[in-house]
Amino acid sequence: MTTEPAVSATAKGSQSPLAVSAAKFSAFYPSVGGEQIRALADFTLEVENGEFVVIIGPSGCGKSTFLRTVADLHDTNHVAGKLTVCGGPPRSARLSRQIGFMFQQPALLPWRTVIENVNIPLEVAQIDKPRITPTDMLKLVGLAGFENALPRECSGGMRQRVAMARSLMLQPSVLLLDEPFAAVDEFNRDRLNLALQDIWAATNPAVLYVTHSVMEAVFLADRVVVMSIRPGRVKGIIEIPFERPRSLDLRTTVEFFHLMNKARGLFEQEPDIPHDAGVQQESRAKSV
Amino acid sequence: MKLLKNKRFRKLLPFAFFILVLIMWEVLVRALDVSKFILPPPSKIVEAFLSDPSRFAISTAWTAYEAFLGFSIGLLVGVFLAALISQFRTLDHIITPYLVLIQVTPMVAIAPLLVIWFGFGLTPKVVIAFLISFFPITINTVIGLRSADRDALDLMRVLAATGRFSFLRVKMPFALPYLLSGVKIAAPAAVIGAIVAEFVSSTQGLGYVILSAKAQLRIADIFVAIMGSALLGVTMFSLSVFAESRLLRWHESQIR
Repeated sequence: MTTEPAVSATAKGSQSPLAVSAAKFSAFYPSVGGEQIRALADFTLEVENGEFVVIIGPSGCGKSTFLRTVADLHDTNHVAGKLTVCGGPPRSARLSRQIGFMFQQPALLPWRTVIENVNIPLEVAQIDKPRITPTDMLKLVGLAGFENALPRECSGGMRQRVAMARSLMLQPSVLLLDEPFAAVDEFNRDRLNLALQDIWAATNPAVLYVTHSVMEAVFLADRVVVMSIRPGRVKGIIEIPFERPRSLDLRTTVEFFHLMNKARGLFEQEPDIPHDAGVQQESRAKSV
Repeated sequence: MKLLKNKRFRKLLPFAFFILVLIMWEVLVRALDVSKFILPPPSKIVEAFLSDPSRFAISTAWTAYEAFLGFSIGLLVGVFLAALISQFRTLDHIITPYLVLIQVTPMVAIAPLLVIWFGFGLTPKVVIAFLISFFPITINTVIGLRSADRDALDLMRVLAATGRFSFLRVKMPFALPYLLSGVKIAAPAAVIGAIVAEFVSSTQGLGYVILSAKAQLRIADIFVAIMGSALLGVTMFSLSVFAESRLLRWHESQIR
């Protein structure tokens, strides 16, 4: 067991650094005109180890950009401010394989069977004896018996389960999910979210989960981060105090509705949209 | 009418049509008394083949050998070039125009020069077959390598995979359908290249058979050689399709 990752040992220590810490962090995209478009502005957020944080906000609020920056997928020439992942720059967290990422699309390799896809992280990291084998991981996500199926033989929900299993194979300290179930039907989405909750409880990574759905956010999160649009800022953070594990019935309670309204309220008190400098700048640029 | 709906019967239809054409050809040539120096009837073509079958077989095999060698080198060089071009934009910028130039220049125009350079033997034929076959493989593979799934490549980055791993295990397999489309064009084209080179100078092969038969006005021999070259082209194409069906079981195009 020499290949056992040292990550989980440090993740549970009380003095270990925060999973993710962003302080007055900004991210840009170079635009065609040469001017930079600000995707995130003065974004400040701290995520504890093992914490489940859901980020919601309208399209284009920079939530995906934030995830990509945490995973070191965003060009570091176009950022400002401070961002650490597992106590260091995103790059070193990525290189030490402490990050798991799940995309909106399953991104499976279509020539590999389900189990071969789940095995990819082990091949890349050259781990022969993993703590959790791909077979066990597939059981955990409810895909026992489908090991040798090809992705094209799987339904959309099953493919996302495979992607979930794959993102967890190296037991990341930080698991990033970018609208992972947006393309899945509602019934499957509920089941996948329940599965995610179970797996998170079992493996306990810090989770950053991006979604459009207020209901999904309140159901899953320890804390919900509500973002405003262009440039993306933290509008407010809502603590979700419900006990775990949570069942789907929770969503019919008064408290649940109360928290959903609170989150929605943060969107609605957005009088600054027409006056927003970023928006105005952009519309001016378009009219030229 | 019921017979037309029978699946087995339907499969035989193209062959039946072929035989019908042969019969009409035979009948018309005899009835209209067409000169055998213009168009020999099928029976004379078969006769010509049977008079010396080994000569035609060996000529076909020789041309096949030239074409296959040229194609194989074209495949290796084509994939290698595609890998370089897809990785380095500047290289793409510099060499792609010249690759296009090689492709659009008629091989017949280059062939005499290659004979001067490489002699009368095997080499110029292989070179022409190579020159004609690498291009479709290169451009197709470049497109394939560039259209590898973005998310899959991002995943490789998140996993801190080596460049080697993401190239060989992700980009190349994603490019394979494109590469094989290039092969389907290149493999029969290599046969054309080999025969064109034989026309310029040769002592054996199908091109040689055609040239010498033309000189002696043995029109039936020319027809046998034409059929040999068609057969070669079809074989090369079928092998490519077979490779595709083996290698791309996972791909949408192979779902029946």
